[in-house]
Amino acid sequence: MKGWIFLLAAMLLTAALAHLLIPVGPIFELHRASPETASLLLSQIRLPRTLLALGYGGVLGMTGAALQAMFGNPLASPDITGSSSGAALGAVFGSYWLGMTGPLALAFSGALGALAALGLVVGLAGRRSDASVLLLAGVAVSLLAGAATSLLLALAPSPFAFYDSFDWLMGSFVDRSLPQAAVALVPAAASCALLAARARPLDLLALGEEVTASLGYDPRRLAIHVIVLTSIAVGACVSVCGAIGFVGLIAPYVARRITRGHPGQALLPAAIIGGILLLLADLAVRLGPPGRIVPVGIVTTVLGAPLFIWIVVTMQRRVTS
Amino acid sequence: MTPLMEARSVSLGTRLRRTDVLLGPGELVALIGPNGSGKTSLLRALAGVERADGKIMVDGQSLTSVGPARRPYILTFVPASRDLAWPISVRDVIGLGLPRSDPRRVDELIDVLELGPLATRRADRLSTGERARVLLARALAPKPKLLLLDEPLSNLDPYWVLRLLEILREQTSSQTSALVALHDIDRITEFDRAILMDAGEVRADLPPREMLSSDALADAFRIDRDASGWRLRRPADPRSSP
Repeated sequence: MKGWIFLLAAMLLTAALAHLLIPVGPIFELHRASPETASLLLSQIRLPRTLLALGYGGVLGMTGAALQAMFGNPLASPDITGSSSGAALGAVFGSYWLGMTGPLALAFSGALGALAALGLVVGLAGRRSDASVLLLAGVAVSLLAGAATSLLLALAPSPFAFYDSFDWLMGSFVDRSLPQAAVALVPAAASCALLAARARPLDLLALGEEVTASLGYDPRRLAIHVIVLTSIAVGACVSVCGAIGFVGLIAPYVARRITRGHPGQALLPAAIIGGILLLLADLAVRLGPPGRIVPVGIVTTVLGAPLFIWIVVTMQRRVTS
Repeated sequence: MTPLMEARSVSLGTRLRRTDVLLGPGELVALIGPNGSGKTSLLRALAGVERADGKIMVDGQSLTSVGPARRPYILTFVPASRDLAWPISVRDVIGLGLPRSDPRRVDELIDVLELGPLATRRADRLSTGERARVLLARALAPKPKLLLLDEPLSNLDPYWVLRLLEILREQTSSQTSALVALHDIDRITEFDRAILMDAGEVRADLPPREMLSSDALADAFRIDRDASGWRLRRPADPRSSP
């Protein structure tokens, strides 16, 4: 397991360096002409984008793993459980209706939106529900939050709200500043550290809530911690970069291949894998067709949806066999 | 003798009413009673699954003061449900019982419960009886001072009923105490003592043979024993009365 973590960390570092430096040509040319401008390009434009892709990917991987362990369900993730769409709704409401402009205030309204959505899903489906019930509750809340977001944008005082927010709503790291990255990543990192400290009780949930409680962990309190910490991390990232789908589903799925299925031990590897995935997805966006910017959220959805379908089909086979 | 576990006035609403239970070190005690009599509620209260009123001391300390790092060494609980929420292997399920990784102890339990051929298989795909053995191995792994087992003998074949009782006897002789809920009352003869519950209260606490011939047991289960075995107790027929 330790060997895997080192290998994954090395891959993450490589992906981050590649994301920061590729394409390398323009940086060299700029460096020859004006070294200061080249270092500004790296530190003010490319670095925030790399940090956000790495950090947001890590948040999606870890919160996805934590939600899956908490719900006892491999289909749970921030997007499937409505947290991402709730966070988007919160941030849109704060930004276009309450006139919030500070990134910190938007991160807060995003976290509240995520908390409300995830709380509603848990209220509807229960903590240890059947996979399909959780999925239905998640889809219902996501659709509701998505529709409410569209409505708020359509009726927003600014007539350009829809157009303005398209790029952000689809998930993007383009043109974010270092302070914006800090607003997303500092609360997210703190929440993830607190989630990682809960790996053992999340593993024990594999034995059921009764056994977990008998071993000294309160499953209800654990669920509240997971819900609140996930909402803070996802809310802060969504408020800066928009909602990005499927990384929170794929990363834990891959990570559990390394942890022999243990859901709690998968938290850290899932975070690293999430970081690698989002760095690579955003690198693909940057190397995509010139003159067109495809939001990174669309890339992850196009790649992630087939895996989601595959997990559903294999689960279905297991149930019917 | 200082009791290993001392539960005083333990209550859980109407399910469990001011119950006292004492267990000595190394004692193997059966817990019997009709369906809904409060056996599971008592075990859940003692295991800390539900916060009960009253005082529960295990090994001289209040259960609430024992953190998760030390709890598995004090007590473990196996609920009646054999469900597993995640697809993990038999070996890994047993390993989860230990706060710190100890592959040698896991191997030992795989041997004791004869799980060798199943060790790498997914525990959630085993039969209910096989899963019962895996979950018992998980509970035995940290060598707890107190074992709380809810219906561990259900779904087991005759070999495993006898073998499991033998394993429990071996474990309890090495200073582990066990409180075991049973539905087969004839099995209580294998235990040191039997506690009878009815309507959320302890009705009798007797040596097994005395328990089997007690009125309390017959009244609680509404059965009587004659030469051929247990018989349903019928309401008295007014026509046959003198």
